[in-house]
Order: sequence, then structure tokens, then C-alpha cells
Amino acid sequence: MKVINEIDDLLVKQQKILRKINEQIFNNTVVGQTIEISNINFNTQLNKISQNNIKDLSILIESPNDYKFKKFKKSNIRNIQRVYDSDSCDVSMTFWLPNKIIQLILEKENSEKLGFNSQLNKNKNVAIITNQTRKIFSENSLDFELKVDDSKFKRFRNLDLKDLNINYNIRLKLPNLKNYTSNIGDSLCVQYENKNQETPTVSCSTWYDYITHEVVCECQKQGLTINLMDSTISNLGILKQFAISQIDFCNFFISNYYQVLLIILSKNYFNLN
Amino acid sequence: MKKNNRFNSKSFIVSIQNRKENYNNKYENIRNDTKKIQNTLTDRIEDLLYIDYRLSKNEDLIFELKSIDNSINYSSISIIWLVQHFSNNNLYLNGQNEKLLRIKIYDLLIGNNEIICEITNINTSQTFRKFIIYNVDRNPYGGNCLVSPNFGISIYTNFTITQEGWKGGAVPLLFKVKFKTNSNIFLDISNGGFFSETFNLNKLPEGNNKIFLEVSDQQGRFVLFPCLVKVKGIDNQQSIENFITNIRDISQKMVMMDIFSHNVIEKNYNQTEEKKEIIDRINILNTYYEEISAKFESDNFFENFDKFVSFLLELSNKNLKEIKLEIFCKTLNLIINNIDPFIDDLNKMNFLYKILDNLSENIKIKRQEISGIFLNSFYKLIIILKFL
Repeated sequence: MKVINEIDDLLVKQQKILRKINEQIFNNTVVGQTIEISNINFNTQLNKISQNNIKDLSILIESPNDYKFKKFKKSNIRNIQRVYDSDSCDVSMTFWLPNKIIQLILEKENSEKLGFNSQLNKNKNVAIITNQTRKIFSENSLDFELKVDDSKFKRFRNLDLKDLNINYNIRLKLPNLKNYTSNIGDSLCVQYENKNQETPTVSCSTWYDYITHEVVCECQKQGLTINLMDSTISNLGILKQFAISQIDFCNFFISNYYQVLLIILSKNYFNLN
Repeated sequence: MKKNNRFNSKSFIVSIQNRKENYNNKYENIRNDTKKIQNTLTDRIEDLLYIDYRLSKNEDLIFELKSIDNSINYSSISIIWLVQHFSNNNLYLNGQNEKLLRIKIYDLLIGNNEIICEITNINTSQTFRKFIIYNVDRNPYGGNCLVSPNFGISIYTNFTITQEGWKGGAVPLLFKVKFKTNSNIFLDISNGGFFSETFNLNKLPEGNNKIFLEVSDQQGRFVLFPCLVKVKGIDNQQSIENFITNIRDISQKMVMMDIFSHNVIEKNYNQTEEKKEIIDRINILNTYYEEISAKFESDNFFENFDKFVSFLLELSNKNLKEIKLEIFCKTLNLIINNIDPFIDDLNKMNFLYKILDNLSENIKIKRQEISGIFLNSFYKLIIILKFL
């Protein structure tokens, strides 16, 4: 147990340092610029978007070779890449926010600039509390934060999104499903908003995309988004996602392209009856 | 007369007010007429704008369109930045239409570069240009490096390094003596560098022509120039503990440890002795970090910052089995509490990213091991239960 505690301690510290470095680079980023830093275990992306140059925000699951980027010329900082433009959303993206929504945010917030700070953890090493009943299910997780530039105070502040109903679409990698098909319904997308990362919030709808082997989280909030395997929280999430008053089977639409797995729904339905 | 300070309308409003005196014995102001008078001098937006530039911490060049008057409304103008020889749009790191332009200094040509800012007033659709000439100097050049004597024994011979004839744009030039380690890292052995013509030192590692003179100017451009010298090791070298016990300065101690390990590898020690050496080295590292935590706040330490980072990198490369987890936690604590020197420079930040990446990899392995242990004991328990 001592070793596990030490490892957890390491993870928390690692996360703290990552945040601090990202903040520093973000401060040094000029408006209009996107910086992507790729490593084996995590990717960082930092953007500053202005009204002159509104473009889609997207984060790739991995950095493919054919993506447009330019490497720094110095050989010792080769793993820092700079992305110039993204063409469109495709299945290799883990997060995508179209420019129309960004424009909407800027108009609502009466700001000229939008800052975006994200950290894609490619492994299960995330600084959250896990135990025998709560485990990390998805292979990766995304921590993201949107901020607007406040011209009055000359700093970036958090969004006030009370009036805006934005669904952030996040796709996370699923583990090998052979081992998990029996209890995949117990998994759920959750978010950790506070920096202590002790209690998750159930603010996402969870869907499973078997074709791309991903879990699709539709979330209303920002923060560390992760897919947990926890039956207690999962039941809460199911009640929220499929509120009994809102269930209408005729309205369910199953896309040809994304065959959504309705395990959660069926489980919930049969449990209730 | 009332003046409107808003420049976006490209005019100011002048209201002429007459006083009608004989009306109920009271003065009453009546706005008689309002005229828009086109201002010909101060209201010309092009006269208010100018281009400023600065060098960012990660060596990017930033040009900024600034105004003498803060009340100018930038949304009423559109901007296009142009650098004449740029054939590729990707060289404009944050696009061409922002108020700030960010480019890499090495994308510019040596000599004069014209940076043009084409500004269009959206209201009047008038276009005008502002430009600035940025001069790029070349790297330091034309010098030489001499070592006397050009043959000696590591640690014991006093060498004199002489630099001569170096020229550069942004003087004064800073000189550093570096040696290339087996892992191709250039380590500074001149205590942060010198400005004088000569520098004396005895801490040269064993090997032929492994010493380099790094000449850097005030804008961060540098060249590495090889210094010809042959250095021999001693046959009966002391153990590393004896070697460094008398040295109290931590940065000096680190330099000596590096030279020692370099010499050890140069001597082609057989494998068993080398392994023993590595274990010794880890033990020393473990105690070394305890020392650091006590002395971390001293100014001396940061003088040899690069070496600390390379040590950390080496440490993070090792399996967690070999190094105590506590040491890692302590080290990370030190970084958190003193993170500023790490993150003032993109290059150092990159090292930090590498350290964290290595750490993450190590944690992954460790976790797998732990889960393996748990699974084994779990299966054993099941087997026992079955027999019961």
C-alpha cells in the first residue's frame, strides 16, 4: 500500500508541474497561435483564437504524420510541434469545437480573444482517487479549459456559460473490449472540475462507438474528462441521461455511421420493469 | 466647444452653442448647430500607428502594431503582415492578420529585412503601409581556440584556454568551455562562462579533442568551436566517494562526478565493475538529493542549472526499481517550489516535459508490476480456498 500511495503522490505532483508549464507557455503564446507539444504519454495543446481568425478547435488522438505541422529547427526541442490549421473533424480527433460555437462564445462574452488549454493523457496515469470499486476504464483522458480575454483587466478569465448550452464532444479510446463486454454498462464519462480531483461530477452523456472503438462523452462542463468504471456513479449517470419522463423510444435515431450501443438504455429499461 | 475623443469615426464633433441672454433674465444654452469637421492632422489613423518589436523568451521575434493613442479602435482596421522573402505562409507563426506578428528569427535573412504591415481602414477602405527594417546579425565568427599545454593529465594539469579574434553583432561575447559527454550532451565546465581572453581550469575529462568553446552573443546566437587538446587519465583513479568528498560546492561536485564517470567509461572498465559503479552512482544521487533540498535556495546552485536538468533526466530514465520513490517525490517537490527557472526558457521546459514523460512511463511499468503481484496473490488465495 505504501508504494501505491507513493505512486499516487507522484502522479499528483506530475500533474501540478504539467499545469504550471502549460500556463507559462500559454502566457508566452501570441494571439492566433496554436502550439502542440507531443510526448509518448501526453499531448498538450494551447491555442489563442481571436475574432480576426476564428477557426475550429480540434485535438487529435495521436499526431498523424500527414497532419500539417512544422517542427522547430533546433534538434533538441523537436517534439514540440506547431499546428497551423485543421481541415475538418474526423474520427481521429478526440475533441472538436466548431468555429460557429467559438464565435457564439466570443459574442456572448463580449470578448475578442479565446484561450484554450488542453492536456490529453494517453495512458491511465491520471491523478484521481481510485479504489477497488472505482477504476479508470478509458485508455486516455482529456483535461481542457476555455478562457476569454478580459480587456478590462488584461487577463484571461474563466467562461461564464450560464446562458450557453454547449455540448463538448469528447471521444476517448476504449480498452480491449473482450475483457469488458459483460460490465461495460457500469462505465461512465465523468468530469473533475476542481483541481483536487477527489469527487467526480456527472455532467456527461455516455455513448459507445463500436466502429471506432471509442466512448463518446457529451459534456456540458469543462475539466478533466475521463471514463470511469464505477457501478454506483454509473447508475446515477443512467438516471440523468435517460430520465424516465424523457424516454420516448420513437424518437431514438440510430445513425448508419455511428451505431450507438444502447446497452445502458436497455439495462436501465429492463431494470425498471 | 466640445471635443469628442473617439477616433473610430475619423472625425470629431464640434457643437457651436449660442447664449440667448434676454430670455426671462436667465441664460439658456441652445445647441444651435452641429458640424462635422474633418480633421486633417491628428485624426489620420496612419499617423497614430507604428511598429514595435521584441524578442520573446523562446527566441521568437514579435512585431506589434502599436498606437500613440490608446483609444484607437483596432476593429475598424484590417491588417496584413508581409515579409518580402517569405514564400510559405506557414512562416507567419500566428497568421498574417493579427495585431501581433510572430516569426522565427532564423527565418529572416542575414542583413536588412523589411517587415511590412498593410493596414486598411474598413470604414473608408483606404489602404496604407507601415514598415520597419530589422537587421539580422550573423553568428559569432572568425575566431580561434587554443589550449596550452595541448597535452596533459585529467584533473592534475592546469590548462589555459585562450580565445582570440571572435566577432559578432551583439557584443559582449560570452565564452564557455564545454565537453561532449558520451551521451552527446555538451556540459559547461567553465562555471557559467567568461568574457576575458583566457581561462584557466584543470577539470578537463579524459579523451582527445572533446573540448569545445561555445561563443554566444547577447541575442542568444552561438557557435561551438573545437579546441585541440589531448587529455590522459590516471591509472589508479580514486573511488568516486573519495574523489568528491573534499569538494563542498554542489555545482563543482556535479562537474567532478560527470568527469569521473566519463573517465571511467573511457577506460573501458569491464562490465561487473561498471555495474558496481552505476550502483555507487545511484547511491550518491540518493544522498545528493538530500543535500540539494537543503541547499536548493542558495544562488550558487542555479549557476549550474543545465547540469541539474541533465541529472534529473538521467534519473528519470532509470527504472523506479533502482531509485527510491521518495527521492523522486522530493525532487518533484523541489521543482514545484522552484519552478520559475525551469519555465523561463522553452528549451528547459522541453527537458522538463521529457522528465515527466519518462516518469509517466516508469509509473506505468511500476503499476503493471503491482497489479501483477496482486493478481498472483489473488490466484494463490483461490487455489488455497479450493483445497479447503
